[in-house]
Amino acid sequence: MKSIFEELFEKSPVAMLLVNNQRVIQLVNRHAEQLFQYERSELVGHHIELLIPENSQQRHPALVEGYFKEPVPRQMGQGRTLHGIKKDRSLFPVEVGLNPVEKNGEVFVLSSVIDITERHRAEERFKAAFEAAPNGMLMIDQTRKIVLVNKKTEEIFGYSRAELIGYPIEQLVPDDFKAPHPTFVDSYIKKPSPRAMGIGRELFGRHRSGKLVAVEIGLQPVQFEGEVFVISSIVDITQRKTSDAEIKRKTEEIEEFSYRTSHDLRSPLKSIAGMTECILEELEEKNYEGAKKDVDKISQLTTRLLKLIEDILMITKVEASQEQITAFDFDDYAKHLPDKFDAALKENQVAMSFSFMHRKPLMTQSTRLIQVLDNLIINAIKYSDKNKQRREVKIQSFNDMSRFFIHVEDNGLGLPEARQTEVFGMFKRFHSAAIPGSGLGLYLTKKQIDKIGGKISFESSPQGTTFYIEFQLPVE
Amino acid sequence: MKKNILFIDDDESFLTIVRRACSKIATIAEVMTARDGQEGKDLLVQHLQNHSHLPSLIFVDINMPRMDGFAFLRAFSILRDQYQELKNVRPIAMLTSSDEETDKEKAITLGADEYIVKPASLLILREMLSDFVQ
Repeated sequence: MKSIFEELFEKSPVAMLLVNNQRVIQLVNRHAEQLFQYERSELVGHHIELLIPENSQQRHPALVEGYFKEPVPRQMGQGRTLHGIKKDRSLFPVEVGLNPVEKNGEVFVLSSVIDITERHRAEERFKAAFEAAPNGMLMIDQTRKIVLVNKKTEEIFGYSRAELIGYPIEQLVPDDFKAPHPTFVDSYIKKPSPRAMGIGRELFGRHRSGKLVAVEIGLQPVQFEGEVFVISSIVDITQRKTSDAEIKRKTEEIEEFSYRTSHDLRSPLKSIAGMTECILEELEEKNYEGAKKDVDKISQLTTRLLKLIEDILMITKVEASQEQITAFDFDDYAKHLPDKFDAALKENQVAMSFSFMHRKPLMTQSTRLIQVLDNLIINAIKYSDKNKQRREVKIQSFNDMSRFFIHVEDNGLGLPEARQTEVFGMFKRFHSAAIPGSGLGLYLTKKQIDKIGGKISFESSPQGTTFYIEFQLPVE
Repeated sequence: MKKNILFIDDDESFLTIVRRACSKIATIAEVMTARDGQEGKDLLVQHLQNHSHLPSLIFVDINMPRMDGFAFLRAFSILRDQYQELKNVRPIAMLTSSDEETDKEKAITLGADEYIVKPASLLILREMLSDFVQ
């Protein structure tokens, strides 16, 4: 009759094997047979390596020898995933407990083997979800060491996972915040609850390069085998912040725009109203000469008002135009210029010259580029310097391998140095009111250039102004 | 005694209206005009140097190229600290419309005595100016 202990061993729900110091299996229970799919006779008397995958077989004898030198109850293969191998050569993950047993002065090891396939699968699933999360995911243990990161986290912070796992979380905290951070983590771990981090504050992470990354962080505590871990979900909000700033800038621009348009439209209309009363008085006084002059002024005012309205409408059109891209015909453009600006050229006595030296065509939306060039040229004519003997504007084009350049150069009044940063702003005027202008020309120019993917800059002094336009040419 | 007044405005047509409005106000001697803050300031300095008759009222527009109304008010308060003769000269800001709230406050802060909203009517402008030079 079997002893109660033998019964216990045999019927244990855990697979058990008794092995001697020569690594020979002495006893197995029913569950071990089932787990490894061997008959008892195929196991007893054989080396334990029978149940160990090939890649671990070689080093196993040394491990067993080591264990027998210091036989204490413990888990096998701490921190590693262990596998067993079945008779059909299939592998499965296991957890193995080791217990020394002494009988008649000889020491044996009692191994309990638990199939953790299910748990392992759940873990794998968790890791896969963690990895695939659209946010940066990062898990730390209660000593603040990083234990798990996903690909997105690597991307946000610029570190590979090998450079993160095992290191303190403070590696990703901005310098200013490194010192108090451990205290925050400790207090969180004492009272863990799902919440957002740093509510009401702007949060930053520290990129590998040292740069700060604007982030939003959600915290989620998890309990694993009695230990608390914290999962952080991290969203890089740099993009969002940039768009916020962009919206703010646009709103300010719209406010400025409505303020200025209301002023600039109302002001000449008021003058027209006042002028008509002047004319009425002049007619009563039979001052026909004066009345005629004032009618002329009203006519000028309406012309100017019309131009302003056209410019304002142009601003809305700049956004909308879907013009086809074609090769810009410089010669054709130049041919029409003298006629186009005939009056202004004569009034200001400005000479215009061209030098087109480009070898590659410029593919662009021609109407937009024409508006840009027209505006730069008319400015060069309008703001010419009466004190200079020869007044001129030169238009040049040339290119290198990758870029196309257009320069519009004049020897006019120049832009006042103190205000050169405002040049492309809305409703900016830099010269005497005697020269009419809506203050929108260069603002529109910049908008158009942005739309056709060019860059515009300038240099200006009392000797004159040069505007530089640059386009990237397509790579051949 | 008749008074001189100075108008600083880039709007040439408004200046025309002003001249006509003033031409029928008996208490106004001379109407001086300037097209922006810089011209206005230069004109004052010139008068100070020649000891010629200064304006007792300066009406200054806010939106002007080169030196705007605010910049002029700043420059004027510096000039007034330097020249005793300017002590009784009153700078008055001119607004285009009454909804330019921040402009009102800013003009007063920068030393404008008061502000007016430019009227669209010649007759109302004339009445307004008569009140100022009584």
